[in-house]
Amino acid sequence: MSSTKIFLKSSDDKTFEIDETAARASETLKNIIDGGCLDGVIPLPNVSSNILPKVIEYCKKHGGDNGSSKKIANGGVDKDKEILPDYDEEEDKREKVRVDELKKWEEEYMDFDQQVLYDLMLAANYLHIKGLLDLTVEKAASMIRGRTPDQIRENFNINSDFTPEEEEEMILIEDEWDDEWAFD
Amino acid sequence: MFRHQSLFLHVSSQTDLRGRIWPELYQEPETEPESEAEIDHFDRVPNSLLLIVFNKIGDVKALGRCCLVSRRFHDLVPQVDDVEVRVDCVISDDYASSDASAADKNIGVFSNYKQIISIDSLFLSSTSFLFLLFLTSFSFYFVLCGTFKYNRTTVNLQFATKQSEFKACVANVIARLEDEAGTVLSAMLEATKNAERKIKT
Repeated sequence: MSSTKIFLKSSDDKTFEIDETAARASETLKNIIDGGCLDGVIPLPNVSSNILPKVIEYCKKHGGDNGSSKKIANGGVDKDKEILPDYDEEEDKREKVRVDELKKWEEEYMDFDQQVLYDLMLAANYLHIKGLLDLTVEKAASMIRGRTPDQIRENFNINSDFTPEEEEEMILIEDEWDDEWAFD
Repeated sequence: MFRHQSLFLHVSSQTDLRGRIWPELYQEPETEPESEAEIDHFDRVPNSLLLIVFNKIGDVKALGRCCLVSRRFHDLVPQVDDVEVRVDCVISDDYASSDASAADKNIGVFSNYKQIISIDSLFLSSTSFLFLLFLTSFSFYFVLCGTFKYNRTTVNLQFATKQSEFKACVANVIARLEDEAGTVLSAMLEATKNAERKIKT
């Protein structure tokens, strides 16, 4: 089990360290590693130094998801696997605890302001970290669901760029919609 | 390519949308935080990502509202792949007595239906695969479910009406049509009209 360290350089020239196993959570990094283009530091010009630690934190948590770190953690139990009949049950329980823990962790992890959300979304997209992208996108989507256009605009600091006439029309349409959907 | 914009909100006819080019992909990530209040946060998010967000929303109402937010949203929303339309309506058993309100509700349902169809026609493109399922079962429920699959767009539709005197038929009609979607949609509208008539009589 090789767990070499990989160094990532953020857009503002700060270097961060990450385990290879963790880095593999990112498709982009994985390709770089597998491609053998690894000469010391991987520059990430699209990720700034205040976001990168956040990304690394996620990778550390999820990097070993489908592989090594879990095995390492359960290393001692591995042998008993075939022998003990109640292994599955125990494993299930452990898995459940792990998932619960992960959920709780995710909740805490996702507790940040919008500024960070976009950066994280961009970083996840750039680094192809699917889980993180899903997480951030879901958060953004939940900020849109069930809101009026005004609320959305306010929420995301979007200035309406419609002309006043269009705006008026919009309001009409909106009212119409509200009426139409009112009964549910 | 997307010939649906004007249909939807009747906005594009007035102004020239073509002149507007949205900032694509990565602008400089280092925006100064001090002017944070005025920054349109989504400006930094590329269209491709925003589209992922919209796809995640699913709910057609929320998407409709998004259309009204800004021009960029308005242009992007029609490109969404996954839309879910759910209209669940319960018409009271004693609709005969509660004439006015029931009639109102009926109107609500079917104008909604038209609304849905107008939304659907947003995504209309040439020939499309359409799976239409009529399920009329037992005495209490008239359920109409449809899954429309246009080129890239899946629209799930569910429409349920509860009414006690509709005990007539238990019919399962599964029609698989590869036709102009419009034709089928009109057929569906016709079907709902029939249902409406039945409810009224």
